[in-house]
Amino acid sequence: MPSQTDEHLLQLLLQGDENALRLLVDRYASSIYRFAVRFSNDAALAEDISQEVFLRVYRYAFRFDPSQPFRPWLFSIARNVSMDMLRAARAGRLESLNEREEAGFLTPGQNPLESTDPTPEDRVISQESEQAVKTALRALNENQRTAIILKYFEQMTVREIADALSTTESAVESLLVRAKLNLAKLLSV
Amino acid sequence: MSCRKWEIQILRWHEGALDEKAEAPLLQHLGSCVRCRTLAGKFSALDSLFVSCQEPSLPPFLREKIISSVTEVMRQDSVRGVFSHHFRFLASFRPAIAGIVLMLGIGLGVVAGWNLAQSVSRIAAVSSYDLLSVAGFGGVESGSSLEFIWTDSDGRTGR
Repeated sequence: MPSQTDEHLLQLLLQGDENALRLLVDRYASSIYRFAVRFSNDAALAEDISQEVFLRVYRYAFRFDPSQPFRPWLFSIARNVSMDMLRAARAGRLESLNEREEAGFLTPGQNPLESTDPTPEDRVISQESEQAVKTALRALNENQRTAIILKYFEQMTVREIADALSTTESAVESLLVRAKLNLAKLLSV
Repeated sequence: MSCRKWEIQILRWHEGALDEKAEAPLLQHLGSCVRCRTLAGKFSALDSLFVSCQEPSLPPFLREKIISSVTEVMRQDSVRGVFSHHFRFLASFRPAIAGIVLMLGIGLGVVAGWNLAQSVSRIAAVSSYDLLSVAGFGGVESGSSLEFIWTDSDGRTGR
């Protein structure tokens, strides 16, 4: 089964195949979680987002067009779920984001940015720039943020991003340019 | 070409997505335009910054949490039946379905009301017919209308 395509796994998932679910989670849970952390800047919320994304993948699998690639469809769900849950969190329906931010963004034992083996100095510099990038990303609008995360952190092509955002490739390129200009300003690059 | 138009070219150039034909004019422009050269530098700096960002790693418990939550829904669905997805799909059209049902209800109400009105007028007409019959008038019922034939004391008749 590992050689099966995502599209085929989705068809199996629709038939209630739990192994197909496990394979899809193995393939994409990390990417979705990374996307959610970067989009929301909130590790706990990113866990909820990841869970909801896979629930929606299962619920809406019957709507998926097998002639289309799976990854953009998956990330379009991830983007919608992230926006919904972030808005809900902001509206106070979920736990206050501010409380978590005041607590230092991540709770103990839940640091998703655990590095491999950097020196202490590297770690300080890296964490500072990391935090600056996170803050700057949050200042972008949702479309620009999505485009940047998918392009530079998930290595998706412009075509795939266009599919995920239901737009054209040239619109994505414009989004990326605007986003990079904004980031350059925000990060004083 | 205005500098604004070169921005996309610079972006593509950084992605390695610019073809050779387009690369030469871009490099020529970068050689003469400080603004675009600065922009290209900024884009490069941002790319390096993105690369230096660490990857958030999936919390170890999350994989199983996701699988168990989806599996739970899958089991509930298998109890409900194979069409549960489609029922859920229909559920998203609940307001439209409610609207159609309401329109059908209103339509049925109008038809029923019209029939009722017809019946009432018919009953009223039949009651009149009965009264006239008792009074000695002969009548012919045709559909919802009644035609009466009267006869006077001289034996003359009329309608």
